[in-house]
Amino acid sequence: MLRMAESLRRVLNLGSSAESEEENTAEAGPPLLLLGGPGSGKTALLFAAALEAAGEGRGPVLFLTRRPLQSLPRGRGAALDPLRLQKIRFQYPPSTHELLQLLCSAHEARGPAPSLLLLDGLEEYLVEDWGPQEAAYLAALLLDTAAHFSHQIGPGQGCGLIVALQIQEEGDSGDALQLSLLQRYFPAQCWLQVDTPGPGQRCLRACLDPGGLGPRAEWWVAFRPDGEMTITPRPAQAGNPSSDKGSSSEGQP
Amino acid sequence: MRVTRADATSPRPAPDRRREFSLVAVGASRLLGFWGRVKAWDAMASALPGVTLPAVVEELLSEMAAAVQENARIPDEHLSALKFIFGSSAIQALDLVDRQSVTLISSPSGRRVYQVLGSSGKTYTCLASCHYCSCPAFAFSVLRKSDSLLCKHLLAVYLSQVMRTCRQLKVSDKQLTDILFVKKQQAAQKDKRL
Repeated sequence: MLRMAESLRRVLNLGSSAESEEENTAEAGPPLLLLGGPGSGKTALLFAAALEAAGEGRGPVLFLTRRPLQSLPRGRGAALDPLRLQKIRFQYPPSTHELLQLLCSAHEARGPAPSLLLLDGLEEYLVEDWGPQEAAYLAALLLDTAAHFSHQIGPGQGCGLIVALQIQEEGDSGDALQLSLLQRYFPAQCWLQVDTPGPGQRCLRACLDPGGLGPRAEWWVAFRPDGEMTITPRPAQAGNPSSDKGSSSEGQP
Repeated sequence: MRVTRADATSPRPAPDRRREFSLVAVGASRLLGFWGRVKAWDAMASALPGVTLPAVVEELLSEMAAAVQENARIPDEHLSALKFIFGSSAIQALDLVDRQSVTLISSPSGRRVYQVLGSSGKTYTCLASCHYCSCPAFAFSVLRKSDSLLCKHLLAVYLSQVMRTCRQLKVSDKQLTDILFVKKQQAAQKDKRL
């Protein structure tokens, strides 16, 4: 059920290497920006990615967010194994200042370097009247911190980076400038959109654009009333993606 | 090490990149295998991501590195290509390299950052892992207007890597934090103003 989180990383892993489905391609891939409106499942997907990485037998996962998760997303079996949960280190920088400090001093931390760095709610840390340079510095520091963790882990593997950013459906111009700036640092992006608000179940469309490193891919992400998340691949570019005729959910078992 | 760069220091002030383009192009297209690739790069320059250098620049830098290792100098053709791609920044960056203005700062943790002493006497911080420089030109020309690829400080960092003229400075982990966190004052002030 965590195929997407896995796929997110796998697809991004393509990067330079071949498109093989090897289990052990632990290369981190390029940094990924996860974009979506309010309530589009960004946090649930980040958490799924955290669990996925925590189960890989590598380093811990560092999960940065301004406030604790409201509830743990539902999962089955091994996914919510307490051993996995223990490998996810949550930190809650309360302000931009604290987040910058955490990133700038990441190399002072002891212990094994994280294999995945996650930041939820980047928009809460982007100070409104920041010029492009400050926003760029925050993005660049996130990359630099992940690069440092990769360096600590050693060659062959690396520390992945996924950052979630809430966007408005109708973006204003200030947002657009900041977004295009962030996209410089995060060439790979995953867009989440509400697809079919069916009865009792919320369905989202996730579109992954690996930034020229591979083909685009799409998934349906559905949340059942009990909160459980299921992910199914959306048929690969069968039709023209502009028309939304694939909205009936019978396409994929 | 001094760089021979008769071509690069010629006084032509480069008012128009397009015109300069054709001047350099004629010579460079014969001399350089790069030319086709430079043109291809020029065509897609607007779509460039900000994190990595385009392949043609990477290639140029690695060929420069090879030439430096072999002959201890950068061939004129490479300097012309550099000047074509980066305009007047190329000369300014070479000057910074000549003056040994680039310092690679590292701490026991292995984290690294570059500092470049600008011609104005100000020191700018350049991240080692991705494109970022704290200078105003980077904010304006690279980030805001997207009309240049790099500022002269970042280019100087890359060139000093190629020419192995980086000064090295070892600091403690804590000191490195302070260097990276210099921007904190600005951010904090803005936080307060809100």
